[in-house]
Amino acid sequence: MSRPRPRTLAIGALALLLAAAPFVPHGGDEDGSLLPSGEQQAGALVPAATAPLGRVTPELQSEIDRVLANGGSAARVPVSATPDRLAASLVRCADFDGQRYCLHSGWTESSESEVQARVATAARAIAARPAGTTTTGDLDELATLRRLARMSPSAREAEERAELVQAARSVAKVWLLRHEIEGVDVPADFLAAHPEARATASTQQAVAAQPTAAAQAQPAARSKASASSSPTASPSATATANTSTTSSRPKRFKDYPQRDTVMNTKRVAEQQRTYWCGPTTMQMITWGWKKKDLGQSHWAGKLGTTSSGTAITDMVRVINGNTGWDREDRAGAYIVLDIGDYGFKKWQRLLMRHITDYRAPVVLHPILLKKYYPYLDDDASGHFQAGRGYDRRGAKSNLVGYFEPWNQQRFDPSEPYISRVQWRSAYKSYRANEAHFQHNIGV
Amino acid sequence: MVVPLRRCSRPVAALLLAPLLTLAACSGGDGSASEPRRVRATEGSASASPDASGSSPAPTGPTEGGSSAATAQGGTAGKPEVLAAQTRLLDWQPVPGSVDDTVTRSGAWSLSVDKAGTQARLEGPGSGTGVAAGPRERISDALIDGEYAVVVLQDRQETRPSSAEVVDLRHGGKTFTVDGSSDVPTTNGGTWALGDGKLLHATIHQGSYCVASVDLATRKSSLGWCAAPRHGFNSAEVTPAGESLLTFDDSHPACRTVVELTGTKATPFEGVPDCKAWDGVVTADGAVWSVIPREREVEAAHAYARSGDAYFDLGPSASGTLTWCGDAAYFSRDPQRDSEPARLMRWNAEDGLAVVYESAGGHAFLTPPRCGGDTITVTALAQSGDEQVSAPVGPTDG
Repeated sequence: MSRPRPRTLAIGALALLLAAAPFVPHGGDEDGSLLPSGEQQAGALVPAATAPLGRVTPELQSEIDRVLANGGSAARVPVSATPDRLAASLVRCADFDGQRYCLHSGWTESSESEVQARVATAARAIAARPAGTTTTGDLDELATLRRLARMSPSAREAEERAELVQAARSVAKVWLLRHEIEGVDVPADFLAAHPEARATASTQQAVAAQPTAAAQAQPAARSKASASSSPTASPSATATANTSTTSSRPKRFKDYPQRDTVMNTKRVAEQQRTYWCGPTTMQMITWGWKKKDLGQSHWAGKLGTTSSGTAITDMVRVINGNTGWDREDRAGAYIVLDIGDYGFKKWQRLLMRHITDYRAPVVLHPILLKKYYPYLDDDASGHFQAGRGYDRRGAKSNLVGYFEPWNQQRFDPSEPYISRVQWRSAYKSYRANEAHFQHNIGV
Repeated sequence: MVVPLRRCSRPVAALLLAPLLTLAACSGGDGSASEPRRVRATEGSASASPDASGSSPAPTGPTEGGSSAATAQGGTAGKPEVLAAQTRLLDWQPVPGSVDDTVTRSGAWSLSVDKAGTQARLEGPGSGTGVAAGPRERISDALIDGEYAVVVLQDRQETRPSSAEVVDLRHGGKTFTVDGSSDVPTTNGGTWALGDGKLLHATIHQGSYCVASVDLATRKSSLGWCAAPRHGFNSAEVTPAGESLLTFDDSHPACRTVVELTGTKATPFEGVPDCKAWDGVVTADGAVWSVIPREREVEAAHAYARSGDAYFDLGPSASGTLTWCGDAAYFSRDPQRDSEPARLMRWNAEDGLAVVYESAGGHAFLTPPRCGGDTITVTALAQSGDEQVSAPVGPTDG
């Protein structure tokens, strides 16, 4: 047997080194520098892909109490008050661990005064047309404000508390989505305080199986300045936790399959009342999970739907309480997310994140105007649809897939039936979502 | 199933305002409105130099494969000839005001509806007038053709008949109303079309859903074709060659048929596949129409034309956007590729198929084009910025 020559040994050693390199711990920072293995302590703070509802920490509870206490003046606001006064009293915002949640509106990067002004503007426009409008079923802002103003102070506080608790428990989902979609770093101290936001061994394995998710699981070696639009870290976050932040490359378009869908196209229905787009969208979303159709009346009751429509905050509440789409191996807690600052590309990535990574539908929330839906015979109102797919089609324009509850023919002989299962230009749907005065989405 | 409309004898109240205004807005007060819009060269075009008149711009080259107008002979209904589109951009001018308002230009006239659909404003040579929707109403249609302007007010609750304020542009702006108390009454909602001195609208007659025609010169209404039970119609179009509708039944999917109206008769367009149609207009020797190839993509239509016995494939179109203006049919085409603009297409038998408008860069789409007799207006919603522009088109009596 011949002895290996020095050149052969050198090649073999190099091959061994290259093969072992991927297993040497590193920080995942952008320049790819290697870190001492001691930094792997941060491995305990790996962000998950998404998060289920968490617990209400003392800091979150304190913020809930503060917002409710500030609602004292709202107890006296009459239903006949101006839209501006109603909005100023009833639309209040909380800072939950660095993320802003506004009552009856959702998670946003706008300031409280901006959200109040937006709501007041929309409510004023509706108030100028007191007879109301043809609505397919989303609850308009004036109806929302007046419903709240009519409630007794105790009933309203109970409802607002429930909404704030639900929001506080879903803050981890907000951080993780902003991390993935907007590239915002998740503070390590946030991960320390929110175990529901951390990847478990099993989820890490699952994530590692995806080519790009490996990058996502890398803990940060050092703090990275957040984008200017990113929320500030909560001052109330656990002081003893590691304050370094996660830093990873969000998935790119090409990381996703060209086309993906969720939910069976046979489990669809058309709304039976003009204002039941919410219950019908919920019927299809729950049917997709339970494989059992409980009917629109059932979901109208669960959603608190009235002839004025359904609130999107109730849509996410009912998904979280009645399906498994919110499980941590699916979408995690559903939230109402303001997409007003999202460009088209981020909006599409949000959709792909949900459909492909979470294997779960989204609650689309467009304004149903002919300019965005040219096949319609009439302009209609804000609307809900069950978003359930995308198709990037290579060089062709991207499509979004959804279940459309609105069968225009059912209520109007001047309009032909269209299929409940629809695909359309993603850009048109983005513009219709953005043009809704709330410009938010249930994800 | 098709639900019959409820009739209501109470007329829709319309508040007609009559503040006379000068036409500062029409002349482009800042001066920029009168500047010709820069014409972009499109893919495949060697140059772009529209004719100054805008009505017969010079071709600048094909944008895709297929036959040009000069060589097109036409195919059969089963195998229509695929036409290549020349690029002939019209002389587009920015429409003054907010792009959120829906404006239809008509020569020196301009009819605009605000974003909320509650105020319409008609401005023309030396005068201006407004129509305000009442608290129960919204403006569903605003039509103008150089001779008349029509503003349709629809009940928000969809329980009362619509009403239309008609303005005679040639006779000092005289107005009259077509509503639920007219000799052939309007009904709630439905299709409206203006052209050739006529106004088409929907009506209910002895329980049937019918089309009515108002002779605008004499103000006489007449009852036209009535849909069969459990059938409906929309997308009325009036061209110099005739009137058309999209009719459909209540099956799932609906069986949709484009028809030409002649008195009380409706004749299906020749050569259109059964049940697939969406848009349609009548031409002097044929028709233009669109079909929906995939029911699950109801917005992605495909346009065709017939001239005599010759059939032409006009390519992809956006459903609900086909209209007639001047001497040609126009329809929108969504970008077929990420790198493409949204386009307004024009076709007639003489000139063939042409791209006459292209949106600026980025993702985009066009709202349905609006014809004002001798002028066409289009609104582009685009990543690079929305715009509303108008251009003169060919003669109206073509």
